[in-house]
Amino acid sequence: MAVMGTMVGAGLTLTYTISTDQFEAQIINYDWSGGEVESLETTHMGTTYGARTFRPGWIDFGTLTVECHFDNKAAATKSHLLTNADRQNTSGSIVVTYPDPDGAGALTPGTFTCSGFVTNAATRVPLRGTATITYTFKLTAAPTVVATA
Amino acid sequence: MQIDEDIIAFAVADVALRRLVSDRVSFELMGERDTLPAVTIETVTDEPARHMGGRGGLTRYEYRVRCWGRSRVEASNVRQAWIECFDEYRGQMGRSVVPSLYCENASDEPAGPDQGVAQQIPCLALTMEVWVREFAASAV
Repeated sequence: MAVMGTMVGAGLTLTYTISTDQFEAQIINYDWSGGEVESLETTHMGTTYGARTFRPGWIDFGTLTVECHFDNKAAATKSHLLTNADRQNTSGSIVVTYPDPDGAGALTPGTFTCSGFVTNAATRVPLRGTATITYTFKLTAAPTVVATA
Repeated sequence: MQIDEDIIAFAVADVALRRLVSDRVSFELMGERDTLPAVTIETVTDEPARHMGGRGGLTRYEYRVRCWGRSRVEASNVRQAWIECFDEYRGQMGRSVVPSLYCENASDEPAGPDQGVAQQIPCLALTMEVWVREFAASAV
């Protein structure tokens, strides 16, 4: 029986490469919505009365939401991925490298690779505490997942 | 820590505060025989702004500042001078870069044994929150 383990977020990195630029963030929260399979109803007049029937349809690989530290002084152009014309109407490459659950640096780091584009970049600058920018990426294909080894 | 030294240097360089406490500003406990008025500072906590790859370049420090006087009025004058010197300060402080600083939570603080002084010495306290830039951020 497979047993699910645990790990912490320290050590996770994300790079987003688009056009000639590479985005590296100071990530404080990382969320992937997960993929969702569309369910298509297949109930018809000949179906035995009682339960509707379905079949799986297209897969939507959802969104990545990444909350990062925000410093408007440091690399302002990279802070606003939505504002550069050469990045519009274009997907980039997202590579997430998962931390080694043992903290030691695995021989083969676990990765999550996919293509996507930025749909939202929201900044939050509180009176107290650090400023953040939250990027939302829409995934445009199936991600490739490599387990840590 | 560098910011500790910079806070002391900043305080004793302030004309109004220095007129009251001279150079009697320290992170040491208050002694019964110490000259009054004086200020003692205690580090309550430090919280580096971390991210998944390490430290983000800013650290939040919280200090408890105790203002001692021969009377409550004198202690109150010291606390007021401290607030006027430090509250909402932003910029270079000695070798530290301070983007944000607040003085608040002023309270009467009867000294207890943990302060190393007799109970009779009037003491007024406040909390000082100091954000310190440790290093410039890289790309966001």
